[in-house]
Amino acid sequence: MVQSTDITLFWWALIGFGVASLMHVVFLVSNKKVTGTIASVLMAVSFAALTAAITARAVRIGHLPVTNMFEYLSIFAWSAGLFYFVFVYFFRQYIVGAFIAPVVFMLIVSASLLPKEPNMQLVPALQSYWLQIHVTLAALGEAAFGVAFAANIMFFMKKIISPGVFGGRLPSYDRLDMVSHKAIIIGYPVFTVGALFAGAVWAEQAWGTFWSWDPKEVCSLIVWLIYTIYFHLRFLRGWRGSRSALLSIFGFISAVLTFFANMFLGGLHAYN
Amino acid sequence: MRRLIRIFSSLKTGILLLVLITACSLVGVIIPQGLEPQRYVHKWGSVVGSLLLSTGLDHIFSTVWYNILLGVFSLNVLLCTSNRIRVSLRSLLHPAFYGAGKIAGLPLQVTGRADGTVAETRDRVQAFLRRRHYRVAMASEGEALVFDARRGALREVGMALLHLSVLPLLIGGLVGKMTGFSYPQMLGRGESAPVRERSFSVRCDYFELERNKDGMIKDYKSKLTLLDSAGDSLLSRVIEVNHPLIYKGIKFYQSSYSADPQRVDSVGLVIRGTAVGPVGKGVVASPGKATAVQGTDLSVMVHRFIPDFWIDMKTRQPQSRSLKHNNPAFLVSVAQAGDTLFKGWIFEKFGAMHHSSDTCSVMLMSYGQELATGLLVKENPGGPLIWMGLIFMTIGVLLVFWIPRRRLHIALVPTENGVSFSAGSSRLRNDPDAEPVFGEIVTALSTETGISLKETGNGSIN
Repeated sequence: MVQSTDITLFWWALIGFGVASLMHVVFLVSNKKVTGTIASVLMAVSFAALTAAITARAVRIGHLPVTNMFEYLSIFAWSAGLFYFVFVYFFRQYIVGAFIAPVVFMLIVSASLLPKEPNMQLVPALQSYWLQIHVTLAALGEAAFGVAFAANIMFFMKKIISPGVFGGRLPSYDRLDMVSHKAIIIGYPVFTVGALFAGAVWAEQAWGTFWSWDPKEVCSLIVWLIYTIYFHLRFLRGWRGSRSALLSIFGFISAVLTFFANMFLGGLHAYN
Repeated sequence: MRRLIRIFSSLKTGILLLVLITACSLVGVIIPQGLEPQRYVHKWGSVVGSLLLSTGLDHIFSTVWYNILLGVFSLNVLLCTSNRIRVSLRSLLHPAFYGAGKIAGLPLQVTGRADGTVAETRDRVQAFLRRRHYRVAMASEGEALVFDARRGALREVGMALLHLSVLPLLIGGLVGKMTGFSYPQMLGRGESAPVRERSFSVRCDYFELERNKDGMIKDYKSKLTLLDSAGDSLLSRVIEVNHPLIYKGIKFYQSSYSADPQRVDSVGLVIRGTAVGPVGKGVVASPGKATAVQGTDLSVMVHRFIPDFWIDMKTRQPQSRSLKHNNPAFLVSVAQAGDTLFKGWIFEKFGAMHHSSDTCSVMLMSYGQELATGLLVKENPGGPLIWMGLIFMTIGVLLVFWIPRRRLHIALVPTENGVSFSAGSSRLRNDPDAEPVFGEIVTALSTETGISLKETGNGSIN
């Protein structure tokens, strides 16, 4: 059977992100700017391949590919890839990207393990423009939380790894805290509006109720509550550093579990 | 009492309530909700299962205590937000003027000097701040001049909207639950049913199921007509999933479909006898329509369908005992050139049980049921409040996170050879940009107004 273009491009993107992640590790160890530049160029090429894969799939199936778990994870990886460039550009440090790249790679590898057959015929409930808004914004929000997660991992690595290896070259604790916090500041409103509100409005249109206490809805609410607590603890108790990073890690893990919630909890979101 | 209110209206209590709501929601995810009671006992054992059932953990989100928790949280949010609005308004209406000494104690601060007089420097600084959309308040403190400059007041509006939106959301949900209604309504083609608590009724004119070329369901839709009490049409509309009909606060959703127990849309028959030859002829007839039997001059017609056939012994008339297809029967006739060759009931389960003749006999092979539309009829008086809450929260969350709040305290003090300059800002919590933005603004201020900044020990701005 001939493989469709979008799947071929997807595999190329996966290989590209894998090699780019490896180059980022080489950059971390060698501290040579040229390896950082190569890694970033590889990220750009892989990102372009994934963009092309998603576009080709959208053309093939006639709608934005956001209707099964493979497609959602692809969009999730794409969003995280987008934030890679935003943060590398913003901080002008390849080392920040060195921790986002593996997150992108991890997401695309997870996608590759799932069935790739597209939904050529959407069930009537999914035939709504709210689907695009709801799923795309949820993926963007969660990808921003993923960037925060990458910065939190860097934070703890800096604590564990001796400065001699590459710990010394990692950004300062303050800077890592700032990267994580900034990513959450970007992700939180997008997630609130996309995952929760757009979902509620769409549910009202399709099912006649804004909120059904469906397992995936409750999981998304939990993610939102964790980040809400995060902001209030920073504001009230001045939480920074380790405690703040731990809460953010907990938030991202909850977001990932939310993604899988329909697989083992069922409910209204179990379309597959 | 006052202490109790203070504790209750504190942010600390708010965080505690948030943690509690998160934990309870987590329990609601871990323990499957709304199953039959025996399944909890079967899965968790009799002791734990009974405990889950008695504490309401099997339907946690509709328990009184969970809803009280949400109510208490909303009240806390209301009190915290009103406190915050009071503080913000006071701060906005009463600028805080910091002298050079107080600025030196701020977490972000810089000093420098400018040539000329305080008045000249004031004009340059004021023009600079206004170019950058700061609201500037000024005051004299002895010979010194102090500024309280700020921007991002809309963020405070967003903060209030974001938090206060919890109330319409919760009240809307509560109003909907207490005063609204929602019920399923199945309607076959041409059937109507009164709408609860309204003087009109809804009729299904037709239901249509569309499939794609692979036979997968593409869409399903119904044409509904609303009828007043006299039976006159008020409104007709085609509804489908994601496109409900809204009339006087009632929403009609296309929710599902199922086989209509009382209607068939096709009946497969085999005609045998001398009229058609020894092999027999198959025909698929639509109820109520004369259908020609191909290759013959016969026509067949299905007059009536009864899903659960029996004869009422009082009236001696055939009737349906129930809507279940326990004994499906069809009244069928076969005609030839205007003469009826056969007319009688044929049965799915009793193929031989009809009066056949050598000329013509009819056998039922199959039949297809017509589809009935499944509607969800809903009135949600809390809907507008929920919409209001969602809109407020969306505007609020965007204003809070996308509009930066900036505040600068500046002091200009005349010296022997010019003006001494101090600027400072508090490191705002939850604002990762406070420090870089402060560095950026004082650097721009220095460049554009000719104030030379003092280098600090490590060469950066403190």
